[in-house]
This record gives sequence, C-alpha cells and structure tokens, in this order.
Amino acid sequence: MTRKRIANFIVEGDVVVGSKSAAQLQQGAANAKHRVKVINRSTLPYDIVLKCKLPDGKPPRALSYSASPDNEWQARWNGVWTQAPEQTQRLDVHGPPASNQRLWISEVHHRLANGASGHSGSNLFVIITANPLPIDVCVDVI
Amino acid sequence: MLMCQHAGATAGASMVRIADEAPTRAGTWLTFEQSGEELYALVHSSDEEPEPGVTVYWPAMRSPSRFLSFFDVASKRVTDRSDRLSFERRILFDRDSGEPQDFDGSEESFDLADFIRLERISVGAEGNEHPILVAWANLDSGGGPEIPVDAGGVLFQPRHLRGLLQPLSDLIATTSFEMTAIGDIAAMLGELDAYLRPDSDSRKYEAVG
Repeated sequence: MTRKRIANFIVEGDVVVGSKSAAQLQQGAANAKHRVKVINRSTLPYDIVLKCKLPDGKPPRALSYSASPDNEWQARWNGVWTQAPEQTQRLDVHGPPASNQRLWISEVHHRLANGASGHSGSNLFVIITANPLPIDVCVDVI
Repeated sequence: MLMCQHAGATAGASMVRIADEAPTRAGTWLTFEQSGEELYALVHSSDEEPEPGVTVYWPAMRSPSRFLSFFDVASKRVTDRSDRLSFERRILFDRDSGEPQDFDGSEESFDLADFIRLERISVGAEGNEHPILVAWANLDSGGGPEIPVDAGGVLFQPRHLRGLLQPLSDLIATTSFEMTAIGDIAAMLGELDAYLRPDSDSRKYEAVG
C-alpha cells in the first residue's frame, strides 16, 4: 500500500486523509466529494466553521458546526468525546465530479462555544477524506 | 455582581468574586477572580445525565506527567465504593495521524502524542457509560505567542469537587502559564464548590450594588 505525505495530507491507498489539528489546517484540496470529520478531544464545546472555495468562482460555502442544541450536530456532539466521539459531514460540490476538479478548504475557524475570542481551539482534530481517489491532490500555499 | 465570602474568612482577606457568569445552550460559563488570578469553568447543561459535569480549564503548559499524577490520585477519589462498575481509559492521540491509542504512560509514549485524555468511566445498570472524571491536555500548546486558555482541563461531577480540591489546585498551580498561587486557586475552586452547591453551610453571600 502506497503511503506518502503531501503537505498536510497523507495519501494512503484509495483514501486521501488530511490530518492536522484545526489550528494548523489552513487550506487543502480534495475531489468533488469529500468528508470532513471533526473530533473534539477535550470536554469543552466549540463552534466551528469550515469555508470552502469553489473552482467555479462562486462564493465560498460555509459548513458550520454550532454549539446550539437545535443544530443536529450539537444534538450528537455536546463536547464530551465519549458521548459523541466524532461527527461526519459530507460536503458536496455541485457540478460534475471531474477528475481534475479541485476543492479548496480555505479556512477553518473555531472558538469556544461561549463566543469568546482568542482561543486556539487546537483541541479539535480535523480529518478530511476523499472518495473516489482524486487523480491529483495538491495543496496551495498562500 | 456578587461578592462571595466563605464563612470564617479572615477580615481583610482578598475575596473571590465571580467576574463573569454567562449562560448558554452549552452550559454556564464562569470566571472566578482573586488577586488578579482567574479560573475558568463550564457547568455543562445536559438533559441526559443525572448530574451534569463541570469542566475547569486553564492555559496549561506541556506537562503530561503532572496530568498523569493528578489522575492517579483523583481517579481513586471519585470511585464510588457502593458501586456500579467503573473503569479507566487512558488515551493519547498520535501527532501525525491523529488516531487515538491506549498508552502505558511512559515518557517515550508522550513524545509521539500531541494530546492526552484520561478518563474514569462509570457503567450504569443498563450498561451505559458515563464519564465521572476526565483530565485532558493539549501537549502542543504554548509553543507560540498565543497561550490557549483551553490547553488543559478536568471534567468532574460537582459532588466530587471537595475531594479533588487539593490535587486539582496543585495541578493547576504547577502547570498553568498564568496561575501559580495555589492558595488563590484553592479559594476559587472552593467558591466554585459553593456555587455548585448553594445549600452548603460554608457559603455566605453579600450582595454589592
């Protein structure tokens, strides 16, 4: 099984895995469909927003995890890892899943759920997987 | 703002005050302050658990062995002899893959990890698991200009706080970038205990303003 590291991502077999803490993940690339898994390793709840830049020039889409109990993610993830160990959200990009289509995760924002600013939130671990395997995986460095 | 004073405190002694009390859907966020030191806590809201937990958190420096020592002491103090089964789970998260794995607590294992999580789990009559003690630490924090206030924390049940007060005060005082006065920390934890159990005889409130 081939395994190599591309910037912040590890490619293993037919799954592209991005594994970096939320505080360090700045941008990445994946194919038309990918899955984002956020693991909260602490016992504190966080608000998280992932912003994705699309190659078609449309405004970035934001994928939000909110601490609100009305949000389905909060209903399953209340910040205590043993109760809801991980949450998975699939972010679909509209349009044909061309092999050379790239999706950039441009920003990862996180903060404690009390809205206070200045907290790194690096207790969160973000894993990105892509299926099917993209022909080309690249990372833009800004 | 309430000024809180434990019964028996000496006249002129610095008093603990609640600098912030913010209820949210996730729970009530608290900041206790004394002599310029601040202690942060979250009283978790929960509809599922019989007793919502409390997380005390602080800007902890990389010190996995101290968290381990604390857990060794604290785990025994929260174990209910009447019991209900309970067990421990000690996990480190690999720095590269992020995958959780059990560890033996050796110094060598810490080199591979950027996060540790130590748990005491109680098992209910129906087999449901409930954490009664969790100590966690981000081992990669504190290396940059920003010191994250959520770098380390301990979750516990309010009824256990008195038994944990001394070892928790010691843990915070020896691992915090900001709080080092163990007496002040103990006083703030004592005030947290009074806040969580308002029917306790040890508390006396004096309204200000």
